[in-house]
Amino acid sequence: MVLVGLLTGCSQMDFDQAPRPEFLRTLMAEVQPQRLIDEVDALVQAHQSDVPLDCEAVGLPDDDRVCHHSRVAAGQRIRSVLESMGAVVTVDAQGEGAFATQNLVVELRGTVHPDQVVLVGAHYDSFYGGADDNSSGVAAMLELYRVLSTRSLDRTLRLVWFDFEEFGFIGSQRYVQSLPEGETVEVAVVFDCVGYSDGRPGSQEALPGFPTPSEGDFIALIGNQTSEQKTVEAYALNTQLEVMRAAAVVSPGDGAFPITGPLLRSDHSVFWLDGLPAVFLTDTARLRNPHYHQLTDTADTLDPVFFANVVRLSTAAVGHWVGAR
Amino acid sequence: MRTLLLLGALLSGMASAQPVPLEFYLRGNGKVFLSEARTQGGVGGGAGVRGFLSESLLLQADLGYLSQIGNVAELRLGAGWQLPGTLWRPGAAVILSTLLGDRLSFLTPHHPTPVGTPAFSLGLALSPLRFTQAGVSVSLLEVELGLGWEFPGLGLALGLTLVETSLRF
Repeated sequence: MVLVGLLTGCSQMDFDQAPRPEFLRTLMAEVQPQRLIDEVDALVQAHQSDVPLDCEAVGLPDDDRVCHHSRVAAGQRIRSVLESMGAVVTVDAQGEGAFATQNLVVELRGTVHPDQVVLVGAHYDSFYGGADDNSSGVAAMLELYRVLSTRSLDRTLRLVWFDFEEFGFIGSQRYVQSLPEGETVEVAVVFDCVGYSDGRPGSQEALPGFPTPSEGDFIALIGNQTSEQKTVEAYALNTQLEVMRAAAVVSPGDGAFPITGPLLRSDHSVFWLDGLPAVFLTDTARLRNPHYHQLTDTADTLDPVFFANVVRLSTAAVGHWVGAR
Repeated sequence: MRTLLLLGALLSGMASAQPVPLEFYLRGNGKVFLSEARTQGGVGGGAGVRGFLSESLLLQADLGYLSQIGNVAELRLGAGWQLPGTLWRPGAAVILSTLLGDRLSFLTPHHPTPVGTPAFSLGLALSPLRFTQAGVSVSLLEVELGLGWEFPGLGLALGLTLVETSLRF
């Protein structure tokens, strides 16, 4: 197998089935950039029109950012869009009080290996309008659903919009702790901030110990030891399909080390710490985007081409892993 | 560990011909290997043995453990020189170093899969603040700079030993 891989130039991939580039390109071509931007715009409006968190009532500091956290209207928007596409949305409601969570779940059942799940997740709560953080991830998932829901899938594709990420991954933690018995999460793909790009030299900050391009125009693919293979596959697919500039990093172990701690700052970390494979896609948020957690995080600051390419790459990778036909 | 034993046997063999003073040492240090394909290393410490071929020429080997980016073992072999005969005994050594274990891996066109080999480097260690009195030595702020290789590509090894204490037998 290795020899064949070396001879065919596909040594980086160890798929249980070979990728089908032409088919994956067809999937990628179905991604509609304008829909993505329009959806982010609608989600930002939903956040801005929402009643924000009563931070005083829940005992949080009277901080301008914290007191502009919202989620309900965006959740309603997600349900509305999904139901308009014929999806059956399940609400995973857990907890009580101010931090009661409502994860929104949609599933496309696999026809060959229904117990093998490819999970895609993004949080839908935001500070202010939250265009990049994380309406971009929410919109990416809606587009992913739209493209893949017309296909037959070998494995089960489950999309989960997580609640209350901004206060410590509350929704995703509760979700992972209550995963159904008897199924295997083949991989979780988590989006958080996937729409902002800046190609100017010096626009990208780096973390110590991470060789990072100076231009903030790449998508970061972040895995750990458990998801190393899937991270390698996503990187190889991006190379093979020539989608976009990407930087991939694999953290050792579960990623919970002092130097790698900054890589844990989204819902994928919950999967990592539970021993489940997860690949995190991000534009690196505050390391690039000056609008991060600001009032100015609006749809017009996003890069439609970059954003669409992230969704194309994700569609190809998820389509491959889920065995779309 | 095997290397340490081999070096010990070598020095013992030499000792049978003529006595070779041995030093055992403990060190607290940080070390990092940086390349486009990995960042490996951390902070920790280790233990080693040093044999003196003459008043100033030495061979040494040590084994250490580093954390902060997973769990890493550091193995070093060195040959060097020390200023003889005084309380202040600064020195320099050529160091062959290996880091084994966890690492942050970066995928690049040249390294589309995580590198699986240990990080080797060859470099120079300087001990400007080494003091010896009555068979006991203390060395502060030793610096190490090395060049490594990734096949393809190069890496940079940077090390700092905060403190090393040794006892001569």
